[in-house]
Amino acid sequence: MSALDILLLVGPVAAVMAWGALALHVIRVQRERVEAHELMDVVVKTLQLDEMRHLSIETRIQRIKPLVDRASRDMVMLVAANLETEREAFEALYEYLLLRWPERPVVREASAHRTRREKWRRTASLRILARLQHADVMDLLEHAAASPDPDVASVAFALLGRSHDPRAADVLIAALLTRRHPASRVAVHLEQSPQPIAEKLRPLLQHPDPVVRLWSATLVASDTHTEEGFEWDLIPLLDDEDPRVRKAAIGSLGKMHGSIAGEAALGLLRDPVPYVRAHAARALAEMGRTDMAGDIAALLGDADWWVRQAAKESLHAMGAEVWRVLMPCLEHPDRFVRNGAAEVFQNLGIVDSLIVMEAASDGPAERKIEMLRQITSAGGVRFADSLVERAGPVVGARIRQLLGKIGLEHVEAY
Amino acid sequence: MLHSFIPASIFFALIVLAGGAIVTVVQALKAGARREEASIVQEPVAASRFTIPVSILLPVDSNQDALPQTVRMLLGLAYPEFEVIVVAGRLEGDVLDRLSTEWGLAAKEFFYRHSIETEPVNRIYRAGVDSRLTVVDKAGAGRADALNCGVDLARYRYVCTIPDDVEVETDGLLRVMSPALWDPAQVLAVSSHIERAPCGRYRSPTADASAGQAGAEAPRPRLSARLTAPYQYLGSIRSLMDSRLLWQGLRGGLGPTEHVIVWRRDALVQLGGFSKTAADPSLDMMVRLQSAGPERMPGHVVRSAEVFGHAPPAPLGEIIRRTKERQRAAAETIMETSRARSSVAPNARRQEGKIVAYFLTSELIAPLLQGWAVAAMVLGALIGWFSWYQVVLVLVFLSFGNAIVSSAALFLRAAAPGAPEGRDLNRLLVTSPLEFILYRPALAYARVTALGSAIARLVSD
Repeated sequence: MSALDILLLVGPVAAVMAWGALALHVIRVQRERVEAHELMDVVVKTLQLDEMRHLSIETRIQRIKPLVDRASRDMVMLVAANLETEREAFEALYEYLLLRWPERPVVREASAHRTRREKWRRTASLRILARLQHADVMDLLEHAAASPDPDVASVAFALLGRSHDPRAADVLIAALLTRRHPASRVAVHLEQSPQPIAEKLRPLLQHPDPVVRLWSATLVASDTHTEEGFEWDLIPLLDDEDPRVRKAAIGSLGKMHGSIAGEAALGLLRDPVPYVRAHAARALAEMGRTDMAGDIAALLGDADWWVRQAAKESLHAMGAEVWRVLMPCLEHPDRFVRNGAAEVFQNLGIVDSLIVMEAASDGPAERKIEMLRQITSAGGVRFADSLVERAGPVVGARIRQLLGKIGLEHVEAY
Repeated sequence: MLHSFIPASIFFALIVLAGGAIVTVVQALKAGARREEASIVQEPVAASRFTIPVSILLPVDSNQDALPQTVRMLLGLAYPEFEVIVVAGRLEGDVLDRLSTEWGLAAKEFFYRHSIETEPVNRIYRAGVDSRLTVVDKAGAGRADALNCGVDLARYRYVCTIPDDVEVETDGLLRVMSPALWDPAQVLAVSSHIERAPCGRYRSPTADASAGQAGAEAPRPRLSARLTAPYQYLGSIRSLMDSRLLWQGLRGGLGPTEHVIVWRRDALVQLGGFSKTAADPSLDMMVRLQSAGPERMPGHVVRSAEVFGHAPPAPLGEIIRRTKERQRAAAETIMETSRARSSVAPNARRQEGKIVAYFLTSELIAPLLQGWAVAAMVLGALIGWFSWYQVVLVLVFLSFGNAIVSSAALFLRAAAPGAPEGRDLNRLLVTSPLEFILYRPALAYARVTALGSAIARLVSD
């Protein structure tokens, strides 16, 4: 009998048996999961009954014991760690965990992990202890935030970001300083922290690490507790040697809508780094500095596309007031400036609401026709076609006729 | 000689396949099916202005009926900042009307940088109702050209390429972007899965679009789609298992067959955009990103085990066409990597070799060994070396071996939301042994013809 013969005798039987065993295991695991969830649903609903709420925790636990004794520890932890579980149910389940498994304190499980399963238990324990506002939770979260494991650190950051404990913001800021994990991930949670963080960040605006400076500059603007005075701390950063810091500083100044920031931003419109110029333009738009629209319009011809895009969007954001600044741009020798100005005119609705309606009337004013000519010439064929299409079949036909009359039926962006 | 080679090769193939199945099951049982609850971490990210914005590109060629519903779903994604760019090769009149009615589309010129050359754009429409939506009507020149046009127009640092007729999960983008959000400087692309779920588990945008029309009934999938639906579903679930067990330990990867991928825009532009001649432009781009070398393209590709969305079962003809395409793409991958090897640093070459080896194992070697075992056995039976009873035994062995792997994949699938449960699960488990006989021959045919034409092309070149 050859090896293949033996394999063909044993193999199929083994394969059928292995498949059967595995299939049964999968069904069993799935059934147990469903049953466990149903069981815990009943436990939580029982704990939330009105007649249960006024009872002591010990009595509540006694009442649910026959049910919850059938659940695994992980299942009880899962439900206790779920933020949607109501407070009364959560407290009872936590006490139950301590009573039934005294040899495995939640605090210990929240402090370290080795395996994947232990990691899950660690993060669940951290959530439970954070909700409980346990005395040791800040130490445990600090330890978790310093963990090299990104999953554990993420959960720690998220819990610290929700915490009302003043130390939580300190731990997050420490994580920002050590940079064991990406600063942007820490910043997400600092930004949403209910703690006043701006004052704590103020000294970090001079930190030697540019990443710390940039995030400190960014975050001070998102703190709703921020009082006046931060503008003066941010102004020096507009001359920072690191362009990311300059960008962050001007972005924050834009959000603060302060009076001194506009003049400072003006200088950054000529920064050697494109994204700083782009952010300066956006910041000026955010401050509503229409008096500086001319300086932004100059960026329509910038060498960098993102700066041109930022200039167009900033001018658009400033509103129809900028049209006088844009008019000369339509005749600018640089094609990009002409195109950009035409696009802003289009997006502001000036072309549609003012000129087109006028031009399509029986007696169009010469000045409006001239404006239409300038804008459509600067925009090009597709710009003019889009204009006609937007106007609809009736008015569109008249505009097409008018464009023909002024020699623009096959307009090219020159 | 041949008389001893054929039984030995069949024995070898069966042993390798059995070994692979055992390793897979052990790995799956070790990984476990515990459901992780990630919302505590995701919620702040979903609301943060520091979350990197994404441009979602939806190239549409045919199948434009479902477009309004797909756009609605995409704009409903839970993500702080994103835009949706629909790039259509000739928009059909009523589709444009429907989009215009719902989103207030207006033709508006937009001057953008043509970083990648594409076929001309006829018109750009911006939505008045939701400024995040842009629709581009351009000359039809295939998916790659549409994607390149979208990359040109994209405003954000990451672009997400998505097929049409996919029902997306609301938090899909957030989950897929997770590795990029954690380390944007190092992540060049992240792939995620589209699950082909049977009818009843999936609400197709096409069905919704038709149901929305007065008196219209949701179209029923074709018979071949309905009959093969469980096996398409099992295929998706196995692919998900590959991502979790095979690819996650590797710093690099190639996307699954049915995918949604987020790319770093600058990397796409640097490599000249998607290839218009590649069988699978996304797979080709993933290979090029990783074979460019760390000096030119610092960073890595991530194959994540996230499900971005669901799609309805496809008709058999479509499945065969896609399998052929994927096989051709696999052949191109091997050729591309062997061509690029000389210009790559030794470290990157080792890494690239590992990625290609993983890819070949999951996409080529296992089906080839299965095909060889059956073909050689049948050949031997025809010659008279084996009895037909032994052929049946090989089929039983392979069918149940395949079913074991599918069961392991179903076990792992439970770790993510939307896993099959109850009767659905039982049905999938019970029918899984039939897949090898009822469904795989069609895929084998597609693979053989695609490989044949790839080899013929190679010889003629």
